[in-house]
Amino acid sequence: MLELADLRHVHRSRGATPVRALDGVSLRLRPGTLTAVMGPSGSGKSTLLHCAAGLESPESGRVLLGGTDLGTLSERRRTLLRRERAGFVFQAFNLVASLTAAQNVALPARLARRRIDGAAVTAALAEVGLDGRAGHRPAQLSGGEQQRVAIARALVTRPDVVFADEPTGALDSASSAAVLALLRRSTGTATTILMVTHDPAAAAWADEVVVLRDGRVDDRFATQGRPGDPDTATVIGRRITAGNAGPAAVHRVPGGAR
Amino acid sequence: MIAWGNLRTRWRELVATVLAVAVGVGLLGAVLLAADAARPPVQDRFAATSALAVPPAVAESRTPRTDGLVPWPAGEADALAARLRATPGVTAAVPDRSFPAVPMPGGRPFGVPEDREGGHGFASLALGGYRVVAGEAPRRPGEAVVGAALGLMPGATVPVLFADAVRPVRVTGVTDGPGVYLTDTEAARYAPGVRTIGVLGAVPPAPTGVTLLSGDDRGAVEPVQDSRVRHRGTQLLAALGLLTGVTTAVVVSAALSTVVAGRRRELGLLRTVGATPGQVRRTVLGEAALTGAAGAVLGTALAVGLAPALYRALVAVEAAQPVDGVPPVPGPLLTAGAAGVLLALGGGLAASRTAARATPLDVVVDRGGARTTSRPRLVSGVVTLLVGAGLATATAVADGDGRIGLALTTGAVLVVAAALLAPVVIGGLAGAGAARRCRAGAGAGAGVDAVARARAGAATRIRVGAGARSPGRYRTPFRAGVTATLVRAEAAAAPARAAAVTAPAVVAVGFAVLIGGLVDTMAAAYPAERTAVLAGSVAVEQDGAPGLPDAAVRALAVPGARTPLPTVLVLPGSAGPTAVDAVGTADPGLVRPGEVVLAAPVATALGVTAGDTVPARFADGTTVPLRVTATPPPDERRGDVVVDRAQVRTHDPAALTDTAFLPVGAVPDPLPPGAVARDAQAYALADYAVDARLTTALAGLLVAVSAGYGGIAVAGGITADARSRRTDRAALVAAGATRARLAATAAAEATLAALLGAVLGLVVTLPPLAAVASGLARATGVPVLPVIDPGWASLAAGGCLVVAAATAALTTGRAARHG
Repeated sequence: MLELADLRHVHRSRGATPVRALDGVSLRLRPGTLTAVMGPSGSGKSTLLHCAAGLESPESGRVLLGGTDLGTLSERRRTLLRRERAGFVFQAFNLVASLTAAQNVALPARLARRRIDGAAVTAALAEVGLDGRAGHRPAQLSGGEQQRVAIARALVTRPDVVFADEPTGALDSASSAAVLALLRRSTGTATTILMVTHDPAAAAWADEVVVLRDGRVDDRFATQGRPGDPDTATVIGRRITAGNAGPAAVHRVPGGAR
Repeated sequence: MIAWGNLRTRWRELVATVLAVAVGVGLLGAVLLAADAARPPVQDRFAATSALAVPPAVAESRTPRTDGLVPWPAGEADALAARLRATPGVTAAVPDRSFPAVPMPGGRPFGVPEDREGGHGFASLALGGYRVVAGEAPRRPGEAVVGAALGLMPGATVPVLFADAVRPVRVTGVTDGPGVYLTDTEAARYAPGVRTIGVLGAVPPAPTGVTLLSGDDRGAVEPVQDSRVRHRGTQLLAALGLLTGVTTAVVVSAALSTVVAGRRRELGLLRTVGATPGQVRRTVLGEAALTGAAGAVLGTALAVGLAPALYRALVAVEAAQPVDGVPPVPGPLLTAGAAGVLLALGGGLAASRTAARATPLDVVVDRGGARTTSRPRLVSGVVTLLVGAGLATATAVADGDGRIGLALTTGAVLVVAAALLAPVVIGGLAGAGAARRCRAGAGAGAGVDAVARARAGAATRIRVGAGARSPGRYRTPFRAGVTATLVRAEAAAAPARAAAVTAPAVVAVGFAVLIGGLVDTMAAAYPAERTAVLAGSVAVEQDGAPGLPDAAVRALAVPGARTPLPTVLVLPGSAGPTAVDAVGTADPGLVRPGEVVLAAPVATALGVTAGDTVPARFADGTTVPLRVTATPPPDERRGDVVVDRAQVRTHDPAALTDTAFLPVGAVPDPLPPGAVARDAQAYALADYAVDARLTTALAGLLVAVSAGYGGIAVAGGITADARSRRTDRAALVAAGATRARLAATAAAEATLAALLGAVLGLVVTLPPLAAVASGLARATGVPVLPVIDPGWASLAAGGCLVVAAATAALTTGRAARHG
């Protein structure tokens, strides 16, 4: 289970105006659900994902991952928690280029110094339809295949939560559908998935859609119909566009400019 | 697993590192193999011994004239020999008495000119297993057995140069060994002190206070002229080793840092999927170790090939004795290999620290690799700089051999400091340039961050595209401006990346200029020093023999002549018995029997003042109390330790006057037989010739090594960097940059980085060179200016620039073609 309570975060970089990325976001994700986070550029989607996964520390608010408050953990403990409880799928750069697909899948277990037998790795690859590509290196795989290996790696430790950041951003529609179907299927084992996407077709695979705007939850609704239904995608697209009257204004911290 | 995977699949990125380690290990291995081969062999004249008994060595030697052994007095040596002879199994124990004896058949000296040990007692013949092949042993003074090589028969008479005079010697026998063998009684008169007792038969237990050398260790007893040759070789090899070690460390470190910088995203991914910073650090260190091991294997093969060539070079410059071959013994090779792995690990340490700082966010945000100077790098750079400044000061006040060693060490330390601080300099320069442009209203801010940089690059690209299509007169200014903007923005945004090219250039140019400068500064200073000291003098020497006998010295005793009689005294020093060079002077106004004059620095080093009495052990093994009458400032003409000439002669019957200095116009005609006179300048130049040959060879060798090595490193750094910047290139191509434009930008960037390295390399050599010049000026009393050899400097700098520009243009051009 993943619970976010009143997350607030401001991005500050040298020589640039501070930007309020999260402005009081609270979310509670039930086990075995896929939640899509949507919103225009700069709305705080990625920051939300980073904070939820403990990659970034919010300035205030709490993140509870499987009941553990990430804010109270040291960087090392957080790393260990990620290793045990979380899986990641990014838009790109998901795999270590010098390792084979099987080695990439086994990586989290190896880093945790846990024995992982070949059968488990093969099964994980078979689950994403890549049992014949175990010995291939990322450069020898297509983009869709690479994402499927990433999913196999994210799921092999049976994590509580999988964080997916635009997992289909670099894929064609057929590959996208395959990847999303895999993610959706994994919720059957009580895994919670938090997926950031800008694509209504991807969001159509989710149980619930959260729309962020200016660092706040602007809209939140459950999807209807079967997962991945194009009609659902159309509905989501309309609902987002309707709410999106103009280009996203960046919410600036008053007096923050120096 | 990851380290191994990286080594297998990304070997192209790691080639630079592997090559750097291989070259380092190859050179280091060759140095160690050459040093091993240069270990002194057992002298032929001790070939039949089972062991050599030698007295204890002095605690500190301040002279090249001795092996540092404190001689036994005659009585003590004979008693010890008798004791050893009494040991069961020992068939003979012979005190070896050696002294100068140069046969002069037909008036011409025969044998090695520097040999001061051509004469022996007849008993020593057995130590080499030599036999008398014709005639019989000498019975009376004035009789000798001589080497068959002289071509004399028993009954013949030959003049022989001894320390006191050239005297006729009747040949009673001929031996198959070399040398002149007098009766043992007469030999004891020439060499009362004993430094070696040869043992035949079983190896006896060592008596208290005696060192017994057996097997190859017997090689430690060697003629002084041989040990001087070896000393030169050791110095050269040590300098080469130092330079190789420093260069390898800098180059490997730079290469690994570049590799890690280009892999930040992947390191971020590892952190995301659960790798702790420690695991990331260990992965990089593991890769460094594997790379080092691969380089070490290649390097040892290289070392085996290089060692004979290096040894031949040593022999050619008279820094080693010729040998039959340089065997690839495992010890030195293993040491060099281990050093290579350790150097790679050391170089990987900084890179692994950088790698461990990667955060999970690096996987989603491209921050463009090594961007700023890390605090540890800054701190160690500043500390190294301060150490270098301290060493430069120490160099200025050091004397003799120490000065050059310190100058090299100072240079090495400052080179490392410059390599460490290069990013700060680059960042500062780029920032200053950008700021100036800002003031001029041309845009391009300092502190450009990655995203802004990509955007600025893209924007400028579009302008370039427009410029390229616009009328010709606009093209050139646009193009030049854009390249400059890109290069400056890169340098300001990621100074550590440019520093990966700058650092090896600092090493290459720094060492080349330093070594070339040292050679030239000394070449100008030493003969000047000698000439100044010898102004108005004529130098008289014995041709083809180690020195002038007393009889010749008496013939040269014109008013104003200086005929120093050199000997070695063992005085109590702060560390224990200390061997010092002393000269016997027949000037009662300066020193009388029982007195000694010590130059102020020597007195300080020994901890004595005027009025003290010091126990001085002479060459005959006897200890004589000498009163310190004065401690004047150093004077090359007088000498640092001056005693009465007659007293030296009494206690060192083998002492020879190297050179007599006579006032111009007072040279007697004819000169004593076999003596030759030269003017001071010619004498000084001849004196310096061997050193000059050695230092020039050293310079050539070291410059070739450092410049070649630096070139490899510059090329490697650029290649690795080009690979890590595919994304940037893609952005530029998307913005309309042509392949030629990419190549030109990369070449400009690399050339500037290398140029900065060359300038820094030049700057860091100034303190040690100035220090050496100031030290020389102080020692010689003549003004000495540091000389920078424009040949070496421009060769090394030009080489680096060409390599940098060519590699950058080629790799970027190729990479762009392949996408």
